[in-house]
Amino acid sequence: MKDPTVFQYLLGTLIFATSMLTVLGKNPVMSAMNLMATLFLTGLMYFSVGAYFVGAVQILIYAGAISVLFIFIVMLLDLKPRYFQIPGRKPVYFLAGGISLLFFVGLIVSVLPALGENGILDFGLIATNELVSGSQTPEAISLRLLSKYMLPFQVTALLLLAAVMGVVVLGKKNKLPESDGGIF
Amino acid sequence: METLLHYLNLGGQWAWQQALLFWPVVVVLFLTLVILSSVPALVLVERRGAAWIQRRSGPNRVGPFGLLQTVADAVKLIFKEANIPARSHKFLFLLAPALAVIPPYLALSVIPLGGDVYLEGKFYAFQGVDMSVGLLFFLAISSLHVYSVMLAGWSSNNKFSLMGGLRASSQMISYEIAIGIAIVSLVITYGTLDLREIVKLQEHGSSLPAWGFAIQPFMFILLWVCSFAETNRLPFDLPEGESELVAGYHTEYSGLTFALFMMGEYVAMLAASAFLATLFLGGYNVPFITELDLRAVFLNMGMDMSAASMITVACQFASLGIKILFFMWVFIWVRWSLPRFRYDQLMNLGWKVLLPIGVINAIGTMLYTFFKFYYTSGGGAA
Repeated sequence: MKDPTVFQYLLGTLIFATSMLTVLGKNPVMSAMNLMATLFLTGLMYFSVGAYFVGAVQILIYAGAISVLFIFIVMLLDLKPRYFQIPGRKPVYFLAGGISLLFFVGLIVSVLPALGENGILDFGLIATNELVSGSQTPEAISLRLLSKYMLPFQVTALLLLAAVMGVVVLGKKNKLPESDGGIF
Repeated sequence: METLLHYLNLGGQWAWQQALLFWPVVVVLFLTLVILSSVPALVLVERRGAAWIQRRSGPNRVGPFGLLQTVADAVKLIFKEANIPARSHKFLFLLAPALAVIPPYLALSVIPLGGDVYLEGKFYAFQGVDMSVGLLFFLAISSLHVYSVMLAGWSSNNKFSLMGGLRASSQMISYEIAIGIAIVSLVITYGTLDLREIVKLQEHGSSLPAWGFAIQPFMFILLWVCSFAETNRLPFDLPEGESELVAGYHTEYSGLTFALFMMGEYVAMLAASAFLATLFLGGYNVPFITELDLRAVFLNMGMDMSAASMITVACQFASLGIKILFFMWVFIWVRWSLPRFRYDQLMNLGWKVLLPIGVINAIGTMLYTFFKFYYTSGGGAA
């Protein structure tokens, strides 16, 4: 497998920088923009290892649609600039932090097999052969999705259903009287 | 890099082989020239066309028939001060106009502009980037266009701008869903995401029934309507509705920053037209003749392979250009014919009309494809 190119190092640095700025920035809109930049650059990283389908979908869905909604909401809320603060010591923070740490460790463990002999992460191996070398026609992708990856596919669908139901429940909680005209 | 150095060491000798390593760059430079030179022309066509539709004279003082009007406008916009409001977010305020031009321009780079050019014993595709997922790439990159409008609206620190930005983002997100569903039908029909493949599938002797509009007529109309909404053109130009919002998201822009928004709108229209032409009007195909037959005509006239392929590609590019101009003219025609939608009408059209049509069409296409496959493969399992 190939060593990472200069371009990939540059992309990695930019992804790191934008994701740090997402957390540490004081302006909510800039944070959301940095999040969008992180997602977009991740898509470019997929392109650089040859996983064109995943890269295009990453940009289409995350950078093009989901972060638009984030920025949309942040703009509506008219949040004041605020510096990064270390949150207090509530048990729920520790729980959330613990779960995040668990995910992070899992991510590291899943990446470890791609460690090359000279201690450099092999980017070609991280984007597994399924993404890069396999055929990228819609037919081949859907066959893989509906056979080998059926379980993750269905679990994701369940998760989305739960999210939609959660939104409906949250939206119904405080029922406002019928108004004849909103903001639009 | 070595080849580049070697090429530079040739001391002015033009070496085709080395230059052809940068073939995509050549195509993209060509595309840039075409875009940059067609935008002023389109602005003029729009203004003269508007005048013609409304029985006015239009700009007719600068140069013969007013042909130099856009040059005068460009000079004016360049020398005007690009004002930055005092309490705006300066970085995002200047980023927004750039984001208005870059995504549609990038999206155009995956559009196949012509067939294959034969140079130095090899065929080169006349396309900026020949990508296996070109269709998705086009949608992905053009979906970033919404950021320019949103950020312009927010960073201007102006209520009218903000309202324009909010309207634009909810409108573009809504219509992107309809576009996504329409694309599903197309991908099932063509079985590929490669735009070049899609154009070649429409070749079939280049008879008109092989073109996409005859295969997926409903999706043709649906995508056409959505492209108006995505480029924020009338009757969907709520983000800049001047009767309510002054000028919407670009109220605070002046000089070159405003010119970039103007240019971005036309580049986006070009990209949307090229996309529609590629998917539904056979792309660069010349009607009623295939690429090989067309090249054979020029070969029989005594040209060598290289010249014949170049003239073929020129014909194909002209064919694509005519199709794009057709869509551009309809953009202009509709703008000066139809009034603007009300916002709830716009949302109802997107969510309650276009999306269900797209879903029904997608299900129909799936069933048709499945049964066709089922019966033609002798009843075997899919």
